[in-house]
Amino acid sequence: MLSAIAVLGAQVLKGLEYFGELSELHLRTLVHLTRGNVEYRPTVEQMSSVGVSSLPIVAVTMLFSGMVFSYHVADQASLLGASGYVGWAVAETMARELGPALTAIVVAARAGSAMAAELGTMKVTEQIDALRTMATDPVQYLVVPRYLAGMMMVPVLALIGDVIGVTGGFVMANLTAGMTVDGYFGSIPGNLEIWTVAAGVIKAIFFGIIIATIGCHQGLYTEKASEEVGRATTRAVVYCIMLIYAANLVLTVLLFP
Amino acid sequence: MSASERDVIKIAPEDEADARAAPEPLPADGEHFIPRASVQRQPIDRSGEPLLSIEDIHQVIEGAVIIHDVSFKIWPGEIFGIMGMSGSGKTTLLRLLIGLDKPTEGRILFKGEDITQLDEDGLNRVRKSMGMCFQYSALFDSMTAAENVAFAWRNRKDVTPEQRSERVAQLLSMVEMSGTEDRMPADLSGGMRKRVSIARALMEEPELVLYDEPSSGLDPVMSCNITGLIKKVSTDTGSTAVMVSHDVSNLLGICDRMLMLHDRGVQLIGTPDDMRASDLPIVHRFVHGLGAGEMTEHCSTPTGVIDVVG
Ligand SMILES: Nc1ncnc2c1ncn2[C@@H]1O[C@H](COP(=O)(O)OP(=O)(O)OP(=O)(O)O)[C@@H](O)[C@H]1O
Ligand SMILES: [Mg+2]
Repeated sequence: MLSAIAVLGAQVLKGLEYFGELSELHLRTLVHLTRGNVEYRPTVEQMSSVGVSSLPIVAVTMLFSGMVFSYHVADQASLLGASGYVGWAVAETMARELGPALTAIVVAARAGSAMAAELGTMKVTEQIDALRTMATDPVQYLVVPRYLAGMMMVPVLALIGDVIGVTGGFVMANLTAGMTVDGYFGSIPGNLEIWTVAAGVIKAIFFGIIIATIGCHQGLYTEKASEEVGRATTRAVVYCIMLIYAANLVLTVLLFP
Repeated sequence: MSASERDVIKIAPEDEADARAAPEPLPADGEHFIPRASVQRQPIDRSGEPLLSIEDIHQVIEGAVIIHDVSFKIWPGEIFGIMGMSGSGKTTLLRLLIGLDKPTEGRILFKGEDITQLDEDGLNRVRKSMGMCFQYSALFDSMTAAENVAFAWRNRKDVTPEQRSERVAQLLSMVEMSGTEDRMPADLSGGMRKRVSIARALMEEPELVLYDEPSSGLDPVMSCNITGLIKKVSTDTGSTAVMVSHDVSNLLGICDRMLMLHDRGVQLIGTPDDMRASDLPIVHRFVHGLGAGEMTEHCSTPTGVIDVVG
């Protein structure tokens, strides 16, 4: 019994320590950002790397999710006699929920893991130490560009994902329920509010920050052994997904009161 | 100092007078071959303030005492050697000197300022006048050789891209790596990476350069050239070099003073002649080779473990 409490206590302490480290890294990143310590080249490189590497998977994921979702909705809607609202229902769900959340999960798996692996390798091979000897703060040179890339590219990808998902939804509604372009897309403009789309973008910004911070933290705190890089990479993805879902709940409640 | 004045790594005429002790320069890359005996060094002035003053440092890593009560001073312009067995804490000591790690106890004064008390911003200010060449090179593997060397200048607004590439080409030629500008570290051999990392450490002409095993992994000719280069750079720019090496004969050849790290502490500190004259068993073994010293410990041979006394 006592040992169980001790184990639990140790886990709680470890969790607190983890969030402490994460907050410290985030704070240091913000300090560099407010001082304008942003290096142009690595930032552009990271933005293109995050955007380009994740776009194909985001597209595929969102296309099929939109199709599946629309299939269910079209079915229910015809039962309720609400077929005129299928396009809007898909678009609303994409913008509120599926677009940001699914995109973030995909980016976490693709780019968050890459951040952890790359920084972890740099840590193990003393490249991070080499940066420090050249009077360069690794947070400024490595984390800030990834933070900006996550913060800016996840919303962009989520918006692209929204569009692809809605389009996939149309293909499915057309194939199974014979919906027309007008019948599907026509219901969106009058019903979907711009705020809904904006709220999804705000979520995506937070998810991007979570992905970059966790990915970089796992990389920078990798222990000096090559097998640790693999572990750090896996941990980065797992922690990202958990934190994204938790943040999604909080953000949903705050943004859609 | 102008770019042409910096182009010093050619044998200057006055060196020829002293060339008797030196081997003939190799014809193929003779232009860059620097016999180490050919560089004339001025005596070091040790009356002023030391550049580095290491005071009673202890380093404990994960409960293990790696360095115990080590003190020494290094004066400006010196080439200071550190020797010791594998695992004796040489790399650990170098990391302390540039503030990568903080000692558990003790002070490290760089130009009178205690760097153990500095935060990362303060350390970065101090590190602008330091350079370090890592034991395993630590080149940035996402960048070409030239980008690695030019890293410290990447944000400099006062130099044109041409000046930067000129400086990079000059440094790469100093370490005999001309023509590798566009190659990635993964495509270079270990010794080549080592030489690029030396060029990278020298990019900003630091006042203090720390070399961790600069010549390990190099063939004897290249190893001799690199030690010659270190001596030449230090002599020409007046910079201070701290050099860790297993290659004792090279160290004895170029260092002004050196120390022997053993058993977590400093065994002996002095000039190469002091080292040669020392009758401390461990120093003797290092300086004169394993077979020559008096050994009272177990010494493994191909035929098994024998007890050697005297
Ligand atoms: N991060 C660390 N964690 C635990 N022990 C360490 C760590 N770094 C170094 N050590 C220990 O410190 C001792 C000295 O290591 P160091 O790398 O300084 O040796 P060295 O003299 O540079 O050896 P070599 O000549 O092989 O490079 C070793 O016993 C090593 O096990
Ligand atoms: Mg070492």
